Amino acid sequence: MKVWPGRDSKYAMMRSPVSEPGLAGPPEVVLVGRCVSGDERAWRDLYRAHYPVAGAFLRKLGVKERELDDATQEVFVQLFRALPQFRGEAQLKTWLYRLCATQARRVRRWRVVSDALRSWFGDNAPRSTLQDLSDDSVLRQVGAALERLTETDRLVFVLYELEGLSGNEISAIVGCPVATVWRKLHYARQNFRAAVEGEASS
Amino acid sequence: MIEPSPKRLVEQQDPVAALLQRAAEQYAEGLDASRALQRLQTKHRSTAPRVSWLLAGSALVAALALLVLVAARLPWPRHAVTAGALTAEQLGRKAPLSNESAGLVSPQSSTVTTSLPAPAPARPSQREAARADVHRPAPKLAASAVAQPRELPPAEPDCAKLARSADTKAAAACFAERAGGSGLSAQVALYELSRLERDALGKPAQALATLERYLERFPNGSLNGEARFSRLELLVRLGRAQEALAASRAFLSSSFGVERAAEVHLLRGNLLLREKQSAAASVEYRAALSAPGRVGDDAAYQLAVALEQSADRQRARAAYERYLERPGARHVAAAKARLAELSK
Repeated sequence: MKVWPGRDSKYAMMRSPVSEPGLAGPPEVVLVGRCVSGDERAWRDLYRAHYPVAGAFLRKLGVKERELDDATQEVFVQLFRALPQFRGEAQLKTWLYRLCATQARRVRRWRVVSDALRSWFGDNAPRSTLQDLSDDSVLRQVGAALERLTETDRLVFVLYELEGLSGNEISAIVGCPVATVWRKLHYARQNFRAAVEGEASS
Repeated sequence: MIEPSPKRLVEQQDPVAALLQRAAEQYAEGLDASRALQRLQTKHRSTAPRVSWLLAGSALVAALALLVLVAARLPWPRHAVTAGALTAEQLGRKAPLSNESAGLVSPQSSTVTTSLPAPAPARPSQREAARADVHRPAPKLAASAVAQPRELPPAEPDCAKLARSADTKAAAACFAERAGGSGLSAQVALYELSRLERDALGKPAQALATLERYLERFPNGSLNGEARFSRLELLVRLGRAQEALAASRAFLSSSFGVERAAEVHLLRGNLLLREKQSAAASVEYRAALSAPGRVGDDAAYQLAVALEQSADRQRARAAYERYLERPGARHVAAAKARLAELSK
């Protein structure tokens, strides 16, 4: 029975972004090595392999469609900058998730500032793309419920429930003990469920 | 490493699980890496000539924003206005006050503001207006000017809310009731109950009993590692050193020990030092030396103390000197005092 949609294929992609027949060592480390040595094709491969994961994860953390291109671009700039330090001890996806979480936080903060500036200059119309305005009730409902969670609770919830990561992986990304991850998850679930059920009843 | 993970929501059979599954699919839709790469390249090509304009523009915006901020903070001179009108200006700047609220202005504040020659400095009027506001209900305009909280059902768990509101007995009862259930909810409730008993109610023995109940009920529970570590701390606090040493040994050899090894080594070192086993304590402190932050710092200082206790003056002195070289050392004064004592 398929318990989790798209989970296997996505994880397989994350673990081995590009297969490198004939080259020794784990494909991820090899690819990173090529990137660091300045191979432009390797950069593209890395981007193509990880872009869907980063994009979907940023959306889940509340980044809007109009902000998504800039946010993912910034994440990859940060990732490429940090790649020379990559030794393969941690998985590349752990880095990617951490960078995405930081970028999503920056985007939300910048949104507050830009909204304030727009209201000062009298532009009260929301800047929405077509996708933001789409009548997508599922995403709207889940998005509204996720908005009710605190920043860390949301991160833990998304990583566990939507990204399918383990407690240890989340602990490494969030930077707290595994037990704290489970406690945060517990409260996040309660709040998420209450928000969804509250919305459904109203 | 065995990791007791709670069952994921999506693996359950309920509407929330179905909603999450559908959302997971939709979040991943329309993310085409090739097109994103093209957009990125196009953007880079068109961005280069615009950079200088962008810089100039952002500098201008920053200067304007600064001006607006400064202007908003300056006490602008105002003409005489009634206290009520001034309050409306401060809060709404949109419409005059209703007759009802204007009639509620105290005579004192009206006299003060109207007696001032025009233009009058704003500060006294504002103060008087604020004083007048204390004695009257807020005008409707003010209420509408303030951002309304979202009208969503309260989602905070009741027990945690009670604990935060310092109603500890009610919170303990709430957690105890919830602990009777099952799953992660019951686990968290039992664990939170023990924390409450330990920290807020000041009943470490009771907290220990609650943790032992947790470990008995949920031997593979998600909070097992944290519960075992808390139990260890409570044993130390209750003065049950031998039990604590045995429990810490078991903890270190378990899968949970890896995560908090440095803290446990420090704790064992302190216990052994108290038992006058300074050689064994030194071994434990050395194992915790590389830990970052407070744990590593304490271990480095305590190592010197243990060496001093074992009458190894030369090595103790060297250890204190090494400790003083640590960046951000927390026990500098004590270490210097001990070093001076050892140098005599």
